[in-house]
Amino acid sequence: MLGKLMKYEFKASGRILMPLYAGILVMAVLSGIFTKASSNIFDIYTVYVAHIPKFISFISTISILLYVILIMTGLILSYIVAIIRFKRNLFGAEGYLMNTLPVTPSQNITAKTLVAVVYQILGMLVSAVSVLIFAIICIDNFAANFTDLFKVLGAFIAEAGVGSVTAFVLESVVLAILCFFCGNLIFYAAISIGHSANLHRVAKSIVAYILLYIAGQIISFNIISIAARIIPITDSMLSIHIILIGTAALEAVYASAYFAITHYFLKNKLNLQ
Amino acid sequence: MDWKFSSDRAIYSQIVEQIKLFIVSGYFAKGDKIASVRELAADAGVNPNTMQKALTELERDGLLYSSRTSGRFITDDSELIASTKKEFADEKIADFLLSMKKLGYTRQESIQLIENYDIGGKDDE
Amino acid sequence: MMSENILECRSLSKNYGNVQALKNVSLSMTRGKIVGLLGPNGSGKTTLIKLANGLLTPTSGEILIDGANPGVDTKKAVSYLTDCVCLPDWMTIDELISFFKSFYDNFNELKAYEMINNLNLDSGKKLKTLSKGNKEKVQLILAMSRDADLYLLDEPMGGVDPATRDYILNTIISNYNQNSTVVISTHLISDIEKILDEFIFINNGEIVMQDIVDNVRNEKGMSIDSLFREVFKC
Repeated sequence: MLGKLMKYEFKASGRILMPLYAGILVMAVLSGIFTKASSNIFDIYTVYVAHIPKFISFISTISILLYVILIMTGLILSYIVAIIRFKRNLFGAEGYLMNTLPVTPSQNITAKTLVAVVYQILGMLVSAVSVLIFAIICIDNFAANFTDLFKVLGAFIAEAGVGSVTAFVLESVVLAILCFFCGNLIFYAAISIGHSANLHRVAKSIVAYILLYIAGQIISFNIISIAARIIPITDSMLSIHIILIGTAALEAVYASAYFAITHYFLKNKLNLQ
Repeated sequence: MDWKFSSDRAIYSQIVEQIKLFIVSGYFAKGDKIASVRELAADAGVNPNTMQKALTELERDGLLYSSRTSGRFITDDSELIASTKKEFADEKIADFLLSMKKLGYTRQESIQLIENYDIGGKDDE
Repeated sequence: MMSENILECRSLSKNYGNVQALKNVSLSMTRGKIVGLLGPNGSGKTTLIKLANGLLTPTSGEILIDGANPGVDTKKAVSYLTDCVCLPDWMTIDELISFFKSFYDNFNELKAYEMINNLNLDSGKKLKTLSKGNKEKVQLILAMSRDADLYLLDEPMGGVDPATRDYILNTIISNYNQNSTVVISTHLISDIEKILDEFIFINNGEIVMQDIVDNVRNEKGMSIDSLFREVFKC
């Protein structure tokens, strides 16, 4: 059942996000080409035809602008889509359909969370890859510069120790993924709290979000203060690991708490209208 | 088929009556197979349970019979059909005579009125 | 799980804050019936249906579907027709059928397509391109194509023309089977009385009357519609 819910969710969110992500890649290519063209043309034609270079550089500026806007939109939209879909699909008219399917509330929440995180990570990867594409097109000798970068990175890894760096990367990735989960689940919790009311549901959801956020900050601050006093900081490598793992654990606890809140309200306090 | 139901009498007894009419008038020919309960119910716009109840009563009266494998049929019994027809006729006559009595006509006068009745040459229809 | 009653309420109450939507309701329904849940707006009909669907939790008392509390298993056996159009309208009819088929084992795809074709609807069209009447028919078809134990139809005929009403009644009759019960919640009684076996009058969250339709017609010589007007006289 979870798989079926996720398949449906991928399709529903993908309708908006996939074209946008494709657009980002396309714009990276186009603006890369225009930018390259304008820099070349300046070299060759400046003397002869003054207007063409201005026109090309104008287009390249516009296309870069568009490209940047698309990237920003992509990153923001992946969150907005996740939030709106959760609200509309579970608490709007479609809630009558989704909450009477033979699935548990956990499955509904999990499906939405997983798909939201996948699209958010995908959005970031697409943006990163698109920047790479832009750079490859525009920058001469990019390949050479890039391999230089790898050499420097290689030297760093050798000095720090492969095991340590691998652990560091793994911990960061796990932490990042948990942050993504938390980022969505706190919104889901706020929405499910706000929509248990009869009136002013959106306003109440916003208030719930603010309260959850503040509560989270206060708790985190206290935990970190206590932890900083208790845990002795010896060498910098170990302390980095401790911080990463500790923060990841904290995020995991928050994610579970937000999930539990969402589940409670979805299961027991559902109030479709 | 043209089903007419009034809302203040049980539907199944109205169905029984209407099917009897279909049979005596020859609209349902004797010996013919009739449609399934579900089809009849959908056609009449009624609950299949109600249709089933009506058909069961008609079977009890002998106007319908069902064969376990091939479905339900109108009876072959011409005498039964004729006597059912007569029952309807008797009812209509009783109603008519009662109405005429209320108007103040005697039975003899009523019969005479029937004899002389003429709707301008259209009464053979 | 075969209980004698397909639907049972035991001292069921539901409050929304201070408002008592259902007060200590006890009733039971057996299988193989078409039952009318009749009452004015705000009488508690919709609350009762939502409780049966697991969309609300009781304040006190219980509601049982085939002997079980509302949950994943009861949702498999219950087919719900909402009074609003609540399907995602960016999906095509084909996609909706495929959606229902994947979530419900007892969804009969052939039956659904047969009914869609009878209406001459293009199944490749998105729901949002259809007229309101057709959207409602599609919803009805999806609900009735399920081989459910309990069908809960909430105001299936509100706001549609007489021909559509006949279509809806016909669809309900043709898809009904003796192992299932259909509950029709409505305030438009004269249209559906012909097909009801039993009826329940509900008002202000309480059951006012529950009986077999034929009893009323035989004993009182009146239609349920007339009885309703008498009982609920303002």
